[in-house]
Amino acid sequence: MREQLLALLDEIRPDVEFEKETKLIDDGILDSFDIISIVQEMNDTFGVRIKANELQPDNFNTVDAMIELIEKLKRRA
Amino acid sequence: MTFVTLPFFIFVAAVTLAYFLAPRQCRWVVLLLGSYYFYWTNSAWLVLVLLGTTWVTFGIGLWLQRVNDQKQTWLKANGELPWSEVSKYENRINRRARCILLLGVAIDLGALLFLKYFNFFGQNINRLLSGLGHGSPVPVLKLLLPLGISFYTLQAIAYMVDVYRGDERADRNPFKFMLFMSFFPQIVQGPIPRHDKLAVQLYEPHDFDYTRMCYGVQLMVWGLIKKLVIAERLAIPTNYLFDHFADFKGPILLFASAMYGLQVYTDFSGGMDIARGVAHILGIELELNFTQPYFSSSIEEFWRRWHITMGSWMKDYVFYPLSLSEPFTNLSRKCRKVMGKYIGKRIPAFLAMFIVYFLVGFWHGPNWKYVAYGIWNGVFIMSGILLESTYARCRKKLGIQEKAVTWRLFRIIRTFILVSIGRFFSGAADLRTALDMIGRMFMHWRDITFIYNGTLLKAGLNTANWFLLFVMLMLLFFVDFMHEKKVSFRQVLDEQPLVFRWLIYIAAVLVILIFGYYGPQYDAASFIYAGF
Amino acid sequence: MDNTVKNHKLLLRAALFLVVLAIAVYHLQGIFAYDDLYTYEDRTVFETEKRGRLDGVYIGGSDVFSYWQPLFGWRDHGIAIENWCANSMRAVAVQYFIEEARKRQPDALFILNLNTFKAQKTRGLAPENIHRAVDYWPLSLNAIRLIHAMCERSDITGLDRLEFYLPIIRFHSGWDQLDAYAFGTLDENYRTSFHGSSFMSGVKDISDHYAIYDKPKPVSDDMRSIFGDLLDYCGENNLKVLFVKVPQALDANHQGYLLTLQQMAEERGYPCLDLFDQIDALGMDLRQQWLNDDHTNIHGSLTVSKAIGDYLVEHYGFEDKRGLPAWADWDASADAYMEIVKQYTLPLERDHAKRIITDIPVLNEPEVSGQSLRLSWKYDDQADGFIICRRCNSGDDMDWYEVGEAGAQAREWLDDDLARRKRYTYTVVPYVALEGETVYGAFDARGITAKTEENIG
Repeated sequence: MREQLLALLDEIRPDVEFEKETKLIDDGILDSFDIISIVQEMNDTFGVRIKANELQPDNFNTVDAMIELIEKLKRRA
Repeated sequence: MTFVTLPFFIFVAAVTLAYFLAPRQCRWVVLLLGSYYFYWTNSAWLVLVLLGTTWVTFGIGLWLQRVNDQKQTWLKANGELPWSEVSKYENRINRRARCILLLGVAIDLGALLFLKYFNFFGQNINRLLSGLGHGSPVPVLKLLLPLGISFYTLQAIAYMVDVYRGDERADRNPFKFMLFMSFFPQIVQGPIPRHDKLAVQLYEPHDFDYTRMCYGVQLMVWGLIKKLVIAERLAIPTNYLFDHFADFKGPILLFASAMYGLQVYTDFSGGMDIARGVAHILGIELELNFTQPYFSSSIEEFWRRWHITMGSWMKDYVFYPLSLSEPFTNLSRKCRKVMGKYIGKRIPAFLAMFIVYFLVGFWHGPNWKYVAYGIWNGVFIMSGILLESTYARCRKKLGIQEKAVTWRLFRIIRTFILVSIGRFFSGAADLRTALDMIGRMFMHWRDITFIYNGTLLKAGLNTANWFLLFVMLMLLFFVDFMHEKKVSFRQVLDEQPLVFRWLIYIAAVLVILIFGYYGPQYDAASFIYAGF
Repeated sequence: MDNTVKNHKLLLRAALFLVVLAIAVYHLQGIFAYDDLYTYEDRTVFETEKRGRLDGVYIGGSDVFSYWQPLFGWRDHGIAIENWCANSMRAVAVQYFIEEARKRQPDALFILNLNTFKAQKTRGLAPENIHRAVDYWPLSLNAIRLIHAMCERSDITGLDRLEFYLPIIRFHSGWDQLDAYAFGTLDENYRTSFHGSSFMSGVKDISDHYAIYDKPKPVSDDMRSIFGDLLDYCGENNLKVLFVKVPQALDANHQGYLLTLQQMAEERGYPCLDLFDQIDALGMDLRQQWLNDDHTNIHGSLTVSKAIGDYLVEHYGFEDKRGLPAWADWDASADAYMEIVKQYTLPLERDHAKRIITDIPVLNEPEVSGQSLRLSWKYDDQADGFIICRRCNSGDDMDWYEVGEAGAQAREWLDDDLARRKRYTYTVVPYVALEGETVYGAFDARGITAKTEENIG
């Protein structure tokens, strides 16, 4: 899953080194549009429904956090 | 009483004293009483509207909490049931919660729409109908606005949605909730607070801290300087130029608009500083609403630095919910098929962005010019998204380095000009006037003689005052620049020797007293006064 | 525990800071919180005058600033009488002004401008009136009493009265009007003798509505009680008081009120110098020497100041202090002021001529008989003579040529050196001869045209 996610992220923002960054939201590296695009791709690729209130910095600051979120949502469904 | 009057400072002193002398458990009560007293002196009986919204929101919050709790209990108890049963229940109860939420939003928003926009809707309907020959049936009502209704309504909606989403637990104490909705530093102009950030701070007692008080007062003084010395002074030539725009052509109008933009900035951010300063003394941190917006490189960035709490409210409660909602994602999927991946992916963001900026514009006031203002900004942001790759290609072709200082400077100046043109919409009397002014601006667009031919001296400020304005704007630039570089003035000042610090403080107060524009103006011209 | 002790120490420091701030504000507001620079200077000069040495203090409204120049009094007679006035002075405030002046000049002669009491409106005062009276007074019990006495008569209540204790919090300051005078030394300040440009060169013709009425009119009860209280106050404190009524263009009612009050004062034994019907005796010119109905300009001031000075010296025997070393500052101020005044005035007899003569001669239709022409014109102003100019109207010749002169009283001129059947255009230019130069006045640039006839026979 990690590979898929990284590929997805890389397509949206090739200039960002997702593996290294730990404050993608807090430092403003990803903006609102990036997030929308990422969430859409995540929804499509992983079959989850990420809702607006899950768009917290904690869930998207690192790649690991994003993976955790996806796994949590998959478990729920 | 507004933020810049003497009674307000006496009021703040009294509330602060009462707050820190009161027993700890009662301190929030002091804030509640103070806030309602403040509200009463501003809006008198309209306080009932605030109370109405507060209680409705409170009730809806409790109701939603109960439904959420019911859902959690049920799910826990019935976790082993098949997924179809669970999902059926979930759908049913979610629908119920959604209806409750919509009820709350409808009431709160309805109050705002009615009081603020009824006449606007009415006039437009009348115009339409009379154009079709049906007369003007909609009456014009004399409606008064309670203080801060545009702000506290958004605050209430945010609260209800947060409870609905399960991000917040509903407040159980109606009086504490009343304080949350009416806290006097932020009720006037924001910043629009979120329950999770503000409520805890309000309800907890805070202890007196001398350093905090000093810093709060420093903030207030800076806010007063911005408001009274800069904003009020800028108002004079901008009012003149906007009122008499038909006498002028060319860049002087852009100059007027830029001045107006700075006026709004210093006025609004000055008010924010006063609010934050007052709250800080009481131990409460309000959110930042401005982070040096005029250093933005793009309109998009500008709106991340200007009226930040409005932007984040729109993001959390309009933009994300809309663009991630089913209809939008479906639309996006269809568009991707038809228009290709690049555009298709962006369509929901696009549309949501347009709606957001339409709302932002509309929220400012019941006038088409504000809608135009919102759309003006929205267009640049949307075109920025759409043409992102085109711009990137152009930059590459022209060999422009993204990170170069000159490129950044160019973008900052370009943004400043675009923002200033946008200000025509919010500053002019109506949409037609705004378009007129923009048109006139492009006539003789090279004519910059106004800078030295004395036109500006007819706009209400003499040479000394223009000079002072220039100096103060330089000071403002300096302070904002330091903030941009993350220099903390409070720390820098703390490190200075006492005498120097006191000199700065005294000088600041004197600047306000001597150079502040407040009170009626005196005609100091002739000593001869007509008769008795 | 430690925290509270620290907090207390810090709070003490904060209190000390507030005290320092208050002192700074209090002192600077004197400079920055003014309504107009002149009043500020006037107050400052009066307050820094040596205690007890003035011969007199003249109290009244802005009219006193124009009628009485202290330095003219000094120049003419060596008497030292300062103004202590307020623009739009209200009747109720006069007593407090005397009280304040007595602190610094207890033995002075108090000259009270009777014209201050002409307005019957003693209630409903506006904030401006109170500010003009009270701003830049040092805070004292008397000042507080004045603020309240005036606020009682206005609609200002509660916290709004605060603005009179701290004028700077209400009015944005006139910092941009400050000039060198605000910070200069006393002799540069010309001791509050007025030097504003409108005063020096403004003029209004009040001859058409200046009249003297001699019927006293009853004053309002409130005014009667205010004036009565004032007279009581003067009596109780054994003050030397002189009322002066300066000549203003007032209607019958206002003059009537003043006559009533004048009677009241004289009945109580206070003399009143009435200058109303002294216009001719003093040689004043109603057309040239007033700035408006209530104030003279520099030219009028010269005359009135001299008249008041003469009266004072005759009746009060003030010492001529010119040239005394202790009064060197007044000498220096007077010299400096006269330098300014000289630019705007000449010795009185030729005073009027320095200004551009504004009356334009009105040309009548010339009487043509054959080849001669009689030109006539109307002129009401005073000129020393007229130049007759003529234009031939041939081709491009548009210049005026001087063809003759006429005396100051002439209103006709004969031109008999003309060609046949030609058009001539004439105009008349008035002039005034001063020492060394001729000043020409305005003339009708279109001129008047006539055509000569054919001379048959």
